[in-house]
Amino acid sequence: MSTHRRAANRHDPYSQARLQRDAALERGRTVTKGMAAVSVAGVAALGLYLSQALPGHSATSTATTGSAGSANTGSSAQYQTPVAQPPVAQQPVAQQPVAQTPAAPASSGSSFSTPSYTPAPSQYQAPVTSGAS
Amino acid sequence: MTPTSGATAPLAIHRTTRWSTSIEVVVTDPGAVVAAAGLLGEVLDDVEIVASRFREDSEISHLCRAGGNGPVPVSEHLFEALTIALRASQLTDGIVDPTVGSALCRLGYDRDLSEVVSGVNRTLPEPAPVPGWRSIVVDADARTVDLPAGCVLDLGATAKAWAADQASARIGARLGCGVLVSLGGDIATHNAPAGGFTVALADICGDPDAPVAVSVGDGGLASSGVGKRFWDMTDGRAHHLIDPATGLPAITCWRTVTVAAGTCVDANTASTAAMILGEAAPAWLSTHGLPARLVHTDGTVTTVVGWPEDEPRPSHRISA
Repeated sequence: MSTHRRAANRHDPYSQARLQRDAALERGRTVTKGMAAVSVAGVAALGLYLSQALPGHSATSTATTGSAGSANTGSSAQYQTPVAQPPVAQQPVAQQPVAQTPAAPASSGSSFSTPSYTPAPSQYQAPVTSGAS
Repeated sequence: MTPTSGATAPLAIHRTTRWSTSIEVVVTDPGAVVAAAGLLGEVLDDVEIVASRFREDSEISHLCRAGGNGPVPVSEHLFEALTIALRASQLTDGIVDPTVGSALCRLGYDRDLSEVVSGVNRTLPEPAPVPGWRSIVVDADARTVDLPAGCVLDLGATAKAWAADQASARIGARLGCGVLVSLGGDIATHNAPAGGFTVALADICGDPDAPVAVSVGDGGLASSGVGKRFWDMTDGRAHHLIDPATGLPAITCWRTVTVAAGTCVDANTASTAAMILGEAAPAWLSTHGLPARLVHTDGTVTTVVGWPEDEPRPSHRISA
């Protein structure tokens, strides 16, 4: 009986269709997984390349989004503007007051650093005087 | 009366004299004042040995003597000092120029100021533009500097302020206290207390009768003027603020200009440029967003970019 049933199942058109469907789905899953892995690896590699090829670029873009566009975080504002004449070296951190706000960058930039404070009248005794020296 | 910060915290002060000017370091931790003075001395020693044009053995003197002989390797420290000076030129379109050294020498200011103030027995030279900052060729990769022959560098507009910035940052980082460093009125502050440090303003640094005072936070403040570094020549008076276009003392309408900026270097660069610019200075300072107080030769005061109007002080005397 069982041999007869198996033979009958082999010739069952619905059973054959299910087997073919399952096999096709499995192949599709395999292909999809491969494509996803290749995409993630490719975006990561592109991000790494850009971070090394473009000075000043931060390699913190979210490559895991899987979008090539997301790796292109390099708007012009994110790159250090080169100074043609003269070459301006970065100052060591020790030379820059730590408590600078974004509005008061250190004196290595291509514009004046504005103060993080506004001078205000004071009636306290002054330990020092500023004037011509 | 013990000097205090704006928040009435006690302050400790160390005073000395160097580079023909008064030097002060003020700290919010009285127990740190000796160490702070030591750290300041280290910075001043370092800057002097590379940047003083009055010392035959300084690195900048060696560099100037090698002018015209091609690129010369320099130390990191001097390269940085020159980079800062050239940046100042760039920011001011050449109004502040480190190649004014030869012009100062023509005026007799080729030695320490204390030896010049008694007078120079020569006449004012004919106008002649300085070599210009663009004649200095620097190679950042090779760390070399190439000067034209005969070019004498003077980093007076930036080196002292640079030293103040370095010293305040180093003291603040090492000792963890609030600190104000004043090198002849070029002031850098770090970890300023609530309410800031109080700084008096006068035409001459150290004047005990300073008419106004302001509180300053972290950053820089500097004054430039013609009331101190001047000397008589046989046919007129000279001062140290040179107009690069003429190589002669700038003809200015200002007695003193005080500027606040993010760093002392930027404050002193701007105050020096403002003195040389003359009438155009208020608009120029406003364009750059720098609060400033300008005292005209007739005594009138102009303030820009939020600098407060003068308020009379109950007592003008600073602490001894």
